[in-house]
Amino acid sequence: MANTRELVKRRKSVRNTRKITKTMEMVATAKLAKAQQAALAARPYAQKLQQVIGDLAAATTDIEHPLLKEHAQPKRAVVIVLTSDRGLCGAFNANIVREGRNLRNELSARGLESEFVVQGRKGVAAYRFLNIPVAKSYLLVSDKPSYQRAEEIGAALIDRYGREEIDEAYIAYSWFKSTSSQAPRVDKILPLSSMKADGGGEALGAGYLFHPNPKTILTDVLPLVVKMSIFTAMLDNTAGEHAARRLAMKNATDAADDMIKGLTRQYNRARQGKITQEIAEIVGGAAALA
Amino acid sequence: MADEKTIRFTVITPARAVFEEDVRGLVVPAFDGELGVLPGHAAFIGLLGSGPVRVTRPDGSHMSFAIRGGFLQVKSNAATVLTQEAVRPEEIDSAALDSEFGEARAAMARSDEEVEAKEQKLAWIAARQKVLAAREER
Repeated sequence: MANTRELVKRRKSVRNTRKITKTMEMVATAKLAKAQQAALAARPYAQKLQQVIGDLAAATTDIEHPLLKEHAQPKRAVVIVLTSDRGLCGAFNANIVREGRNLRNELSARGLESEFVVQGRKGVAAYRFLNIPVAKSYLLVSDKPSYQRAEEIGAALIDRYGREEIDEAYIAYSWFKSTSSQAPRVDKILPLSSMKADGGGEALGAGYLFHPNPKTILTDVLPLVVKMSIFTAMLDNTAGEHAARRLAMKNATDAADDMIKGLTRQYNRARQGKITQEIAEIVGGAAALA
Repeated sequence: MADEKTIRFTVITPARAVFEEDVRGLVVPAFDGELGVLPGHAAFIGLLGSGPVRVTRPDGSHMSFAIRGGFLQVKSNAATVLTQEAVRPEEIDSAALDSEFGEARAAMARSDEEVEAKEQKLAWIAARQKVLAAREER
């Protein structure tokens, strides 16, 4: 027969865990709302940027830019991996880390050496475990995506790409499709894929006045695309982290509920058994005396 | 649409939309000087530098804020500034700006790129100082 006191102790411990997971779920929900809003706020900029580039591309005939040029013999690639600083968010980090590692294998199959830039403690720890060297890491910032950081990372990439120190650049992160659906994803950020005027651009492209000229403007605008793609990936990733944590914590809370129910049933059964036995003993004792 | 009295003006940074209103006119810092845009302006795309943006509201009042680089697009009576950073005067901390200015000016620039970076930094500081000064005058 199970010890009732033991059962009470275990039930109490599960209850405490449930309190924590429930709280974390609520915190994640609040943070998710904020992160989602931030991701949404960045959208107009990204859209407008695309539109203007479309217009510019329509107005220029020969677009030549170092960021658009593919290097003849690629040897070195930079892989940016965005993970979170904190765990307890299900397979969120594991998925991204796996994407990064797969990409590394693919690149090395093509003869490219990859250099990892990792954001988030979980990613750094995972790659240390996998024996993959990390060239640069950004820690304790996954909660607060900032354009400044994206700009810094982007500027370094652009600079080195221009000097042909690196030949390709990728970013692995969690794409935030909706609150219930995220997927690990890899985007190529350098070289920029060829840009075409998307729709409305061609008609107006010729009608624009440019100051100074489309080519110079494009030279200034293209680096923004690189920085912006890093920034949006960061925003997506932060939203994804909170969504994943909310789900993980919801599952944990539900599991704790089930466990508490089971333990309570066991406890009641044990208690009933004990009382029954005591009565039987008393009745037995009384019978023996009579 | 020559009789348009106002033009829609939007300032967007990667992080947020800073300004979105119908205005009577605006002046933006182009990379080589100031550039004014009035309602009914032709389609235009231009590079911007760091500096103050001034707008005239329909009621005749003015307002200004600082932007850091970017570009301006004018299309079908709507002007849009895409910039890396934009701040309204009330968001500027003048003490912090002073210390930033001191640091930036004292920093040694050893190569051409560093000189350029320093100049850009100083231009962005100057932009905010100007906006702040314009506000205090009033």
